[in-house]
Amino acid sequence: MIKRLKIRCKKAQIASTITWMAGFFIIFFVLIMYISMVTFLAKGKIMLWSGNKIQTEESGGIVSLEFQRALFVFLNTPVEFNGEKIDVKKLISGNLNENKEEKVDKFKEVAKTFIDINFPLPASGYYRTWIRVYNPEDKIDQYYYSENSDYSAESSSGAGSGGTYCDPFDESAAFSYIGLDNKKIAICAN
Amino acid sequence: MNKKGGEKLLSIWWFFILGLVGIAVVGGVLLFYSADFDSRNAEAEIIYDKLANCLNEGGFVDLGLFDDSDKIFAKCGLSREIFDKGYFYFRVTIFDSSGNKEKEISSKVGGSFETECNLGEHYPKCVPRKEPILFYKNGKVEKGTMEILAGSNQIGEKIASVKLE
Repeated sequence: MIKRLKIRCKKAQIASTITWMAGFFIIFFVLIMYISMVTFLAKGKIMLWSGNKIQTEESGGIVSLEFQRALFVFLNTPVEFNGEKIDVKKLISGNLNENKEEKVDKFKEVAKTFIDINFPLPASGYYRTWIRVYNPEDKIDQYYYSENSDYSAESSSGAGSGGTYCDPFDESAAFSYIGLDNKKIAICAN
Repeated sequence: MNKKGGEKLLSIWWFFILGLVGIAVVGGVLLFYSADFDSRNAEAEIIYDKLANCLNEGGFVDLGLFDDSDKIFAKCGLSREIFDKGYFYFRVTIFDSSGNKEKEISSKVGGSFETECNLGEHYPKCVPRKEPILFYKNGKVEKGTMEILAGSNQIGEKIASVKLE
């Protein structure tokens, strides 16, 4: 009896069929969106903030190893001062106010030569490079507030929107400093 | 009255949808993870940084290292085997203050790596740079320039250019 009833009462699944037809189109559309999004993400796969190009970057305010090496070279550069063959490190160590005028002249001469040879200014664009001596408590930034402000040399192709001095916290700048004796020697270039 | 239900036929359709979704998910994942990116420029820069940091000690370069490239490989912790395979390359040249070549050494003598540098998409990517240095010559400190050309031609594989000990 129940068995016969079962066979008699079976109806075609019209509603389910229509539901599945609509559902198929919705699922198919969602899958197309998924594949498109994956393709877009795969093509735009990046490691850093430079599109498809992967590159190492150093942002402003962070010490550049390359410029740190340049500072080491500068500090070890031989100079002749008062008939004695020394290096820049020895020239600026000790009391900077002692023989100040001669020391400043020699420092500026050596530093400017170093900048001109190793960081030459391109033909166009705004480029600035400086080397400065600071006290330990001085803040190193674009402007130079230090009692040692005579001990500086710079090279600039002209005044840009950021002023005439290289800003260590600018993203386009490369910067480094070294602690020496009771001073800081800093270099900045952009 | 003897209409048979379509439940069995609908279940086939249901499995078809399930299979379609499964294929789409697997395909999407494979599509994403098989997309490769070009890290050759970054690798060349890393090799440059490694060489520059290791050769330039406190502003001075030891010219004695340039007698044999094995000395540079050992000092800088680079793997000779990997460089010999042709995936990476370097050439280091020391110039004096007049621009005369003092010393030069490369990871591999001969070959077309250097001539193919940066020629195009399927050619090695190279980073040429120079830095000021000092070196001793005849007991005197001389100013000079160190030029390093570092290149990478390694696409898609994961290998280490640095010896792990």
